[in-house]
Amino acid sequence: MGELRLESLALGYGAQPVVQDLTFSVADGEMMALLGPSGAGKTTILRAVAGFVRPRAGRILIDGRPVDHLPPERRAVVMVFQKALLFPFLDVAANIGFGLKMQGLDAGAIRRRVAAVMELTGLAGLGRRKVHEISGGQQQRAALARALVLQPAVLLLDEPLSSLDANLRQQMREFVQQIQAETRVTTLFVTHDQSEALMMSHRVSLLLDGRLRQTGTPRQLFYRPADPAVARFFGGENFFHGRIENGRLVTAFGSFRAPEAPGNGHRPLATIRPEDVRLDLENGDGAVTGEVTRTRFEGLATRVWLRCADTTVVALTPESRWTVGQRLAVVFPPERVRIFPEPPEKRRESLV
Amino acid sequence: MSRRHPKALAAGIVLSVGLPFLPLVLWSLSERWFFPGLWPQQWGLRAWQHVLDAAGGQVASGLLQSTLLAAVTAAVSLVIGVPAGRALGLYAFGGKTLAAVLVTLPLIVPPLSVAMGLHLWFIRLGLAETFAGVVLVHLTVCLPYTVFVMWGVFANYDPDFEDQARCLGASEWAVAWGVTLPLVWPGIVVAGLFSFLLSWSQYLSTLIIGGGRVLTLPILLFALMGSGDRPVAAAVSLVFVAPAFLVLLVSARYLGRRGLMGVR
Repeated sequence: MGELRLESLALGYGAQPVVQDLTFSVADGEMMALLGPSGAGKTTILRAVAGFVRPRAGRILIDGRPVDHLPPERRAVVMVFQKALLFPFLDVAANIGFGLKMQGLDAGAIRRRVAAVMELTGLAGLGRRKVHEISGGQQQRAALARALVLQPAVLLLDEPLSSLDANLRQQMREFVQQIQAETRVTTLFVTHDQSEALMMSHRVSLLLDGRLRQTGTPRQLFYRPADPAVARFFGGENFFHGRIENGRLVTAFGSFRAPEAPGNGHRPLATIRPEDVRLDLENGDGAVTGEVTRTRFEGLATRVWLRCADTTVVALTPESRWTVGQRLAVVFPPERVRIFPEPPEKRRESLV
Repeated sequence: MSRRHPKALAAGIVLSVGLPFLPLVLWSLSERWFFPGLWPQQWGLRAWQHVLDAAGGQVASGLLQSTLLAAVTAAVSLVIGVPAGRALGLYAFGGKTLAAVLVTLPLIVPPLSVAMGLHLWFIRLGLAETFAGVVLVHLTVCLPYTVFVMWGVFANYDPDFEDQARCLGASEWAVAWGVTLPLVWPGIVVAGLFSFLLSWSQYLSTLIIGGGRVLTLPILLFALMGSGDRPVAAAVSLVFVAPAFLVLLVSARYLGRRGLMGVR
């Protein structure tokens, strides 16, 4: 049980601000990914929630109650670090039971709860092993078990999978997701890997340059980015300015239907993801046309660069039949064109 | 080579460490041993009888005094050196280099000048010729080593272990006792042992500050050697080496089994 809420949180080390004006909530039972490039301040946020970093401003609430004044051991928040950090002087079972022992539970109760959580995390039978006698994946699972056994209000995961190799990481993603679904523990997990964030979490909060840019479901962030920076983070390309005329976006290289378009006279920035751009042999039917300038085979798809008037359009297509020099029709499916809302001051200008 | 011939290696170590002690053993068991004899002309237990019987009380009290002094010095050295090593190993702070130089200084300055300089102060402070005064002068030698050993231990120490324990519900005290201590324990054993043995073998500083009132084993040893009785000096030397040797042996076994755990 636990709802985590951060209100106008500001964090920093010394004179260096790391995160500013951070407000978001993680609902009870929700798994939220805190996504951002390395150095965005994600880990600092987790450390603040856990109580290791004192916020410069703002509040942290768990189930509506501020916890800022509480020391880490009394917050009912458990963090799982990047490294498993199993205590080498204890065996696996004693590691998992560490928190319960700190709570003063009797040996029998500890044994029962440790056995149950080891069953849940697939570690049954490894309790007497020394920490270095189990594999890296098992160590990460033991670290997770050590946190879960305490039934924390909020579980914090600090890139716990980044130290594992690719295959194991994929298994562990599914494992963590499944465990979270079973235990319904409120989870905030930090990652710099966008696909990990998208596939594992109910909602994603994207942090760029010390600010929260957007919070939403994976689909919302991917298909309806709040601003160009969010779109770029998720691999967005093809940004172009245009003018709205009767529900069409008129650009330097052609015009196309845009259902999201605001009223006439607006000059918004628009984008379309490379994989949404459709290429076809020229049909001369008023469509945008472009000349292929470069192609790059990327396995599942081929990336094609096209010159449309003075603008370069990038398309990512499963077909690999296009060659440099070809003239193609470039189709932007209207429902895939994202038109960014203009900042207020800019909109005023364009209306004048 | 050591993997293929573990026994040969062990024998080599035992020989190279043990061989220098052989003349001491021979001397302590000799009655008459003149040049150019390779062996004593006459064997006997006179030296041992003297050490264990006639001078037995003196030797026993010297042994006790040395042990007590070394133990207290090692303990104080750890109480100061462990936090200091932690600060140097884990944190960046202004004047860190200066602190390191100051810690090393007593090792660079000749021990005689350290002891003589301190002697004047200790007389004024009433510490001369006291047990506490000798502990303090021994600390000038032991503390640098303790700080350096613990500095190294904490430089390779992962403080995230402590945060991990905190959020698992351990108080600051529980973390210090139940997490930090076991993680750096092998380092503490090494540093404590260093201090113990350094204090154990102090002669000059004990003589100057203790002024003949604090009679440790080395003080006795020098007195006996000065008398020119080689067999007796050899026997006392063996008595002197035995406890230190024992401590080393036990700790080597202990450390070999456990290794350094808190190290990343």
